[in-house]
Amino acid sequence: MKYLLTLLCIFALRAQALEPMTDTDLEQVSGQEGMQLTLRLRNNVDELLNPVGCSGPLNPCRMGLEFAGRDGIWLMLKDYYGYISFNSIRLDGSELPASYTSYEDADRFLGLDGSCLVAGCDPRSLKAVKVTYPFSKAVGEYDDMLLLMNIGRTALEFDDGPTPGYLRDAASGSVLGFRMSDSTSLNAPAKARFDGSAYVFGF
Amino acid sequence: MRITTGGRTVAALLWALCLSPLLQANQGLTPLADDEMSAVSGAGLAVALEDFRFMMAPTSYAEQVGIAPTGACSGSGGVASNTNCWRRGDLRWYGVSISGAENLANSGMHWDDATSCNPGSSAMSCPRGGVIGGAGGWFSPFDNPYLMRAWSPEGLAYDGSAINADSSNPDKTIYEFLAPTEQPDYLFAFWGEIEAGATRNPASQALTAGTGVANGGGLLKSQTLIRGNAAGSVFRLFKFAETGASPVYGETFAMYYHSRLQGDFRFSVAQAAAGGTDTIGEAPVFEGVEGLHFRNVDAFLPFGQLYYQALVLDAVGTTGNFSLSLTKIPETPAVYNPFYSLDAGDVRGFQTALTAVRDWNAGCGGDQTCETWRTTHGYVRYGDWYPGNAAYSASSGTRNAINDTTDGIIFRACQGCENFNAFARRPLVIDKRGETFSRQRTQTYDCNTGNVGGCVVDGSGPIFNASGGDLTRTYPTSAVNLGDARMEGLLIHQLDIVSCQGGGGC
Repeated sequence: MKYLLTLLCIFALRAQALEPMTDTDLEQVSGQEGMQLTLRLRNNVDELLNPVGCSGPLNPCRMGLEFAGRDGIWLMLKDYYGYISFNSIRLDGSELPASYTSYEDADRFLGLDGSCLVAGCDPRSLKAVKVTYPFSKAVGEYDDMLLLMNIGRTALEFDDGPTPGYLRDAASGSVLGFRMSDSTSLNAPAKARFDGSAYVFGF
Repeated sequence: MRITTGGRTVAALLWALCLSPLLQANQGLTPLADDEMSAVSGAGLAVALEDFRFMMAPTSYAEQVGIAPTGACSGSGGVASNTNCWRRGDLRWYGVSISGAENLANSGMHWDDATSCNPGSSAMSCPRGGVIGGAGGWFSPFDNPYLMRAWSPEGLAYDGSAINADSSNPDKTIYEFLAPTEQPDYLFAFWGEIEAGATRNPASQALTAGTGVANGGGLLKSQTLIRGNAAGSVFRLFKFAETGASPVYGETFAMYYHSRLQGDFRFSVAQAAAGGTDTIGEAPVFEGVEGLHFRNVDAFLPFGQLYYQALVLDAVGTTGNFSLSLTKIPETPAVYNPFYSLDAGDVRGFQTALTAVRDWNAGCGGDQTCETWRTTHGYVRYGDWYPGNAAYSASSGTRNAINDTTDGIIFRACQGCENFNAFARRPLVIDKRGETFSRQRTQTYDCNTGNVGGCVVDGSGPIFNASGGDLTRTYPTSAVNLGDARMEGLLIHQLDIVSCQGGGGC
């Protein structure tokens, strides 16, 4: 598998026009004051999201999972391809509210030994990372996440001498296939939106 | 676990990353100092969600694609090629959403994204609401958040030996995801298609090609709404703790899920007069009240127990089939005794179950056996009837009215549609001479014959307690309440879900 990794930086208000950044520009970026992130991943599809070489026996579009205690036995996801895009996630430093909600449960912050994992088991005003999708929020807009996934067949494959199971297609059948898409056209990705804010904090 | 992926040169990864001053948008940014971050030990991660809502587009779906069975139907209508045969079945779930359940008129939306509705209406007539908890509300409160953490709780191995008995020197670590212990109610909703007889290859043909309808099969659109929450649910990942020379499952990747759900449920198929559609892939507007309703549901289902019972993957034969198994309880007293958690002196479980049902809403008072019983035994309760309340008496109480739509298990017709005829013939006491003899007690609807109504509905409940007489009477109604129901003490010894046809039959 070959990966093409491209890093592009764009200014928030000029997203329509991609412009190269100089090393000097990049040196100004610390990430400390927040960042905006768009992530796109294509797997076994071309830029139009059409699968490439993902049909027929022993085609290379496959993912294998081998679990502990099941050496040499691979759970194979065959005819496997897809695309995922997270659009304009914004990460920001933030602070949790200063007042409890009516759902407060201090026991959630207890460790195994009964001690508090945050001071006083009290998360009020703690620092947190705030995650939002600030754009595309009109009724009917679903552009925060796009997802196309196809798993045509699922079966186990076993190692055979020097040939690992993930390079075999002895079990050619499957009871079910799985697919995530959109009904508007073939291979259109499913679309979704996230409203609101996620506060992520650790202890 | 090892993961390998195949593919030629097709996979591509494109990151568009903006680490920018964000120009006009940076007025709300709060820098995190290094010393603030250094206070985090990594013991866990908390996620709080404010003003939250998740919605997939109403046309976006997850699909399970079937395969044509041996001897599949090929004809349509009453012909031999459409008799005693099966067709390929495909399932699609569209527009999965998690949204607010606030009782605010016109704050929600039907699947067409154009027709407004009230997500808190008692009829559950609205599939999608606003943000959860209303503006400024929390899906998972910051002081009762979703938690992800790694730790080493005590438990029992498959052979009954203690695990992590010494907390300062643990021998196993788990990773767990915890739902809040309390959170607001929300709407979990999707609409779906069940398609029989499709012939399309979903990888190369659009949904409009090779439809089941065109091949003598059919298409049914439905809607599923759940209004409530899953507070208290737990999902854990760990290594299954079975060692030895010939293990049944071995030390493998293991999962357990303790599911807690409380709220209301509606499944419906009738579409509204305006906004209905039978076109594949198009989102219809569903009618407001029709369907099967479960109101005031409270359910706890434990799939696994820490270290000694878990969901694991296993091979079935050597031709490619596999199973997802909830491992069986070993024949080891050190394991099955706490699993059963019988009261002292009880050897069959009956007395323990009686006690547990009687005390279902009381604390265990420090009784560890009682506490363990409540983590190994599940329950499903439909409706708000409970042991000990006045309605439990046969002579008095406030059992659900014959057509109550607010509690218990209910079938409802669409508004403006014709009544349907409800029928019941439930033996309470059996006279071995036959159901028309004097000792028999059969519950039926106490209505006039011929589906003309005239039902007698008194305070004793929706069902007339008859001894003999006409057992064929029906109740013409637009809503019928089947009453409340409870299943207590659910115990799962072993469960195997097998995927066949990977490489021949199982």
